[in-house]
Amino acid sequence: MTEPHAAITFGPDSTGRHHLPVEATLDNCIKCNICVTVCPVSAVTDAFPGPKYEGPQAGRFRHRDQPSPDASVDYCSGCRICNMACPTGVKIAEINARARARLVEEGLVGRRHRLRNNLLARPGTLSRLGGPVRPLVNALFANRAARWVVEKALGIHHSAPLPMYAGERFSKWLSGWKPHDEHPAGKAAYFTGCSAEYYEPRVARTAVQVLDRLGFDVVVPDQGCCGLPLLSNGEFDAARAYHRANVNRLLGFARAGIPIVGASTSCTLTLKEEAPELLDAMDDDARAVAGDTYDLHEFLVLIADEGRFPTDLRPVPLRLLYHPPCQYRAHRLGLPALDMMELVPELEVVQSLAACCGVAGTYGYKEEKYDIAMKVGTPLFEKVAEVGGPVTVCDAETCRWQIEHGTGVRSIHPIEIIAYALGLDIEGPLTKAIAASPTA
Amino acid sequence: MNGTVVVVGAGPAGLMAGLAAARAGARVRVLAKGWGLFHWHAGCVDVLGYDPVGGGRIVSLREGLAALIAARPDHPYGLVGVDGVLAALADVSTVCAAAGYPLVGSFDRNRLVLTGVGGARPTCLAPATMAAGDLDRGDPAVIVGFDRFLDLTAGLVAANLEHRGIPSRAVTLDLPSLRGRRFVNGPILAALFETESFRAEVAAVLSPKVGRAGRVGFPAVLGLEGAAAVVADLRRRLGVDVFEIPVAPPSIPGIRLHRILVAAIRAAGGRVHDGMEAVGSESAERRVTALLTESAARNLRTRADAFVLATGGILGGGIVGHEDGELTEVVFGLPVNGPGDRADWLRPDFTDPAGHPVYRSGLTVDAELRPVGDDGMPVFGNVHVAGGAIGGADAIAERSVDGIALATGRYAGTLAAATALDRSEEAAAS
Amino acid sequence: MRRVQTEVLVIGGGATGTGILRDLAMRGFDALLVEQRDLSHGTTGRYHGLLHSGGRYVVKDPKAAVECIEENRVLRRIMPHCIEDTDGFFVVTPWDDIDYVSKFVEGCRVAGIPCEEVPVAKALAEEPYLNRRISHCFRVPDGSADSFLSAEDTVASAREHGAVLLTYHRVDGLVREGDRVVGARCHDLVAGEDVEVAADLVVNASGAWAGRIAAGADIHFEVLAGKGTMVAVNHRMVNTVINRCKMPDDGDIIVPIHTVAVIGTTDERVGDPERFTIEPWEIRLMLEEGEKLVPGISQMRILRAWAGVRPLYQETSTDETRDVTRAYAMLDHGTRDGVEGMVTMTGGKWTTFRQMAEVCVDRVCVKLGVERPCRTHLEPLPQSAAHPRYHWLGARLATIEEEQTYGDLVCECELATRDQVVDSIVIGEAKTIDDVRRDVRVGMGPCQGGWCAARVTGLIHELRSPPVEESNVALRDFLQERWKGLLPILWGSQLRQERLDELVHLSVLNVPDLPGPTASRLAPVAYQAPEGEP
Repeated sequence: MTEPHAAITFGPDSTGRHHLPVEATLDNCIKCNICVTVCPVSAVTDAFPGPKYEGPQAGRFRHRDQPSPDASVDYCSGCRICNMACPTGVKIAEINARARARLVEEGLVGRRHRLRNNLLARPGTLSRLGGPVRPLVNALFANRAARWVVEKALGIHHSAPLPMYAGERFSKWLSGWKPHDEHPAGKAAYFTGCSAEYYEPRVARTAVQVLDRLGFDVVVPDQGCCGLPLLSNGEFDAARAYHRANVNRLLGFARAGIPIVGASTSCTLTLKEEAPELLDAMDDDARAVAGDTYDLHEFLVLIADEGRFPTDLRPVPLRLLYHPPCQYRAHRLGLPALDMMELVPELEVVQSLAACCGVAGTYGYKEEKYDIAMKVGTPLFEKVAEVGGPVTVCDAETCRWQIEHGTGVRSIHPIEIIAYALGLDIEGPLTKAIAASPTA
Repeated sequence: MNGTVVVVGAGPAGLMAGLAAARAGARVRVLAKGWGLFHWHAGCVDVLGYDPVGGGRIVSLREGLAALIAARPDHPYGLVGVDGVLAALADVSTVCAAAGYPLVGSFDRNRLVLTGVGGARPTCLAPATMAAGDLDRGDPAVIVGFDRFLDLTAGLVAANLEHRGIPSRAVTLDLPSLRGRRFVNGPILAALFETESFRAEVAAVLSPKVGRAGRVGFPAVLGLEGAAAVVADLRRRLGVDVFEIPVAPPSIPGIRLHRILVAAIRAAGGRVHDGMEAVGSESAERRVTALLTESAARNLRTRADAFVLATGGILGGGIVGHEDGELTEVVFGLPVNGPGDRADWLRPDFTDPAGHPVYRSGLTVDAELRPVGDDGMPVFGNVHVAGGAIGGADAIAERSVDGIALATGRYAGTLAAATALDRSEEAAAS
Repeated sequence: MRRVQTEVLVIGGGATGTGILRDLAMRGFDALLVEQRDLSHGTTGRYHGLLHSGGRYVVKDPKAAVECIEENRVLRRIMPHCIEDTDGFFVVTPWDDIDYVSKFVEGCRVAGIPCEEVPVAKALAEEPYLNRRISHCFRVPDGSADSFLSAEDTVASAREHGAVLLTYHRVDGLVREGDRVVGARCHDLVAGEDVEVAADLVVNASGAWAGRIAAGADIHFEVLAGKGTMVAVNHRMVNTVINRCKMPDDGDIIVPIHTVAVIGTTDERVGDPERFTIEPWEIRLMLEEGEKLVPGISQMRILRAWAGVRPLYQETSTDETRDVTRAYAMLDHGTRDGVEGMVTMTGGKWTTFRQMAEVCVDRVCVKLGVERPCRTHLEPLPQSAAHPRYHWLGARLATIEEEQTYGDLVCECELATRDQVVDSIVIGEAKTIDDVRRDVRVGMGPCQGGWCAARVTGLIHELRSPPVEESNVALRDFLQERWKGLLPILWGSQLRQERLDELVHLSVLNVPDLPGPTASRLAPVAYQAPEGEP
């Protein structure tokens, strides 16, 4: 955060968009308290003084060359619900995120927690230790006593829903996959995301098969972690390196007009906006990649709008709860996944109107935040129980695991429904649920 | 998509428009940059509190509103007529009653609702949770504050009530369960009041202090979803009427209205989204074909057959005043009528009863609420304007914010649905 | 009618008067100060908060430059808690004469002002919002100062040494017996009674009012009132004082002070220190000039505008007040006018107030025939003695974090807690909400009293139990006082903010309907055109 930036432009550009630096948006605040009424964290804990306090208000008291006085900003979960409700466009969550990065920069996060944050934020690292390590880690994470030890050592809550490594990595499966021969729709680049690569390859397998079925020649480029967990933990330097590396790898696709599509809403939001904005890294290359990145269902809606989505869809005779994650709503696209699911015959989707599942990326894994996360998620868990349904539907990975943790009900990505409706039979909780359904 | 109405703005005007359009059979998307007026205002429905023509407080709306429309046909109420206002009041009353949150009031007599500093605000409809605080009722009241809730000082309210001739006593509660908390604000208190243990604690401390008062007034924080039940329970525990007193934002009663209307729109098949800032539009042949909203990395295009512009005036952010005196409408760039010289915008007295001229600025609309240009013709045939964006009234000075919003919102939504469904029939027929 | 006796009566509760009071008290005089309204209500409370390094005057007024750097050092020693160590930049923009630079550098050297050239890239790295087209940048020890706190703590020190303060005591006239001034006739605005003060010596430290006050004893001199308007931007886009490297003129400085950045200032002669307006051209000029230093500043959120009148004394009158010397003037009316019993200290700038007080009290000693050395430059003010550190921007944020008082904020914008407000009312004896504002900054943030005005009203009512009309009118007075400084700059975000404030106070709370008068006799004086003008 030390490079002088280009001259600031006020007022909208030719497309109507504003480009104020994050901290400058605090000038928009009219102190109305709307953000305070929607923050799911300050509603359940005193540890977080609230979005208005930590964002635009404290922002006027922060000085780039003075010590960070407020550690309480670390309790912001980054859900961005405040941004969505703010009538004047204050980028509250981003102001908080950057204040948190200052804390980290100044060494105000304890060593143990910082080590933990970095471990949680680099899912690829542990995994790259090699094949034999993965089952060991799984066993460790499943063992109660071991989890207590991990909590004492690192501060990862003993109950937090840590994911298990999948038997086969997505990229391994990909290398043996046989796509269609014909690709009338042209190329599409698929951004896998760490979670699908290591923990839930089923989601990525489903996504690429859907794209393939729709006539796209799917390319999975060389890629690394999008860096979001690092951003959320204030590790900006490391995040910058990850983001830059991805921009370099993906730039060719952007310049060639090949869409970059991802099923992980967090990864796509990071490439589109969070990384370049938080890191002041919106140069031409980053902008090109951002402008070329699409959420998977956003992409499918665009295809459907052009009349290129099949209309003869297989029914899914289920009533399911759909929870659009905070990071998804933060794309500000409305609910494209819901738009797509509404095309599926017999499917009844009940929208969760809950604010947040609580996990907020790596937030809910932390010893000091786990309880907060579970309280935040309680209304959603209750809604899941109320609706019933064999599975729940949610676009974001850590949210799925949190919902499973809080309800005991499996959670799937909406693309799995679309895949089934398109006639693809990909083994998973959904196909099991459909098979078990009395109306099947 | 066929028969689609996009409403821009989710304040009372936008939500009422969305509800009316959804009930008329349109596919409704309410897109808002963020939330707004409901979260700030008192949670009542103010139709007309003060006469902008002759000054003075309005007592009978039946008379006062008709007189206003006769004297000022250009007033936004002139666009909907008394019937339009009554229809909106009926609709909002019905939807609230159905949600278990009845409103009370009369078109023949404005109520006076006690405010958080001890003032009296004239309104047409108030939630039943405020009913017992009616200031035309002279029986003694106990006013309750909370030690760390700074937006209502019981002593100040009680003293002002006494001044009106209503015997009042102030009680400030310093509760054990609140002492350990860092925050005692509206949302926290509202959540606490939804719990039985907190209500029991409050009642235990308060009961001995009720004395001969017939009613007890609290800051308007008596629950969010279950307010009616909270008030009923307190009433039972204390043995007297209980009422709420509106305070500075966030407005818990206002949020209740917001949620009720949003739920009603969803129940009618519509969607309501925040975080959608309108940055432009696409149009052809004097019809808007799509709204553009800012989304991550690009603008989102939402196509519709008709649009309701309910972005508000200067308060809502739909109209912006610039240093050079220009006033602009932010979504479609429609021409705004208002004092062109900034020197004429504002009066030296903050609370000037005549209001400040700049706040009467807004869009000029035709009989179907379509914005008209300098040539007097509608700029767009399928855009209908509702609420604070319409010029011709200073709704705060008159205390008519909610009435104008709900009445013009309902009318705009109905018109937009008709426009959208006509178009969709056209499209189906071709 | 009350009668009060003292040794030295000081008239005027700005920096000069309070500094004199402290010096008098520390030198063992029995001293009393009367101020027509609240401390720092006049010029002292209406400037941009600059602690001069003197760099501004090195070419134009070298003597003033030396005074500034000397006192800059003293004030940093005795009241660091009132000062933020921001440093200052003098930058050469494309609009500035490059020939001035060498004169500036030499001038600083001669005056003893530390001046170091900063490479432009480094300056821009430190201050990213600065105009990237600057060609040179020099660092000097400018700072920003809280003049309210300084006056308050100066008086606290004076009181520790036995001085008495009477605010809201307006001087209606001086009492003269033959060729001697023996006291003053005052009116207590709060109690509504007259007070006659008898004193061995009267010190007229009433700033821009000095001429008027003296005229009451048939002593005549002219103090010109040079109105200066300035504009505050809602947040600190710069953290260093930014000066144009050129001969001082309108709008050539931006001062980061507390949570805002102030663009200043104009200089227009006005006839009456109580009747002047803020003109639209002044606002436009501030923004245009500000643009040269910080491009885009005119599109940022402008928070507030205000104006104060500088007292400018010169024996001969001139039309252009900026050319009048800024040096202060010590007038011994015994030697000058043949009238004993009174001295006037006027002119000057905030940075040199302590030195002005020293010179004045040295003269007081001579006139009263005693020899007592000044110690005001040696002894720190009480709050600084207790916590000797500079103010820093995050101070309040840090305190709240430490004490976990997030939920006890009366003014959320400026982080003023309930305890602070209560102290201001109870210990500080605040008479109006505006007095509380000067003490703890309520109402000085983005919402300009939107929430805190009613909260403070409630606290005043609870603590003092006045008749309710008094509480109600206190609220109205404060809302009107805030409106006064908003009128000239309401557009964009701030206009929207004010409309929300109006919704809250009129539509939700219905403040105008509350019983009591529309304004009290302690209501603020509006910016208004002089009589005879529209």
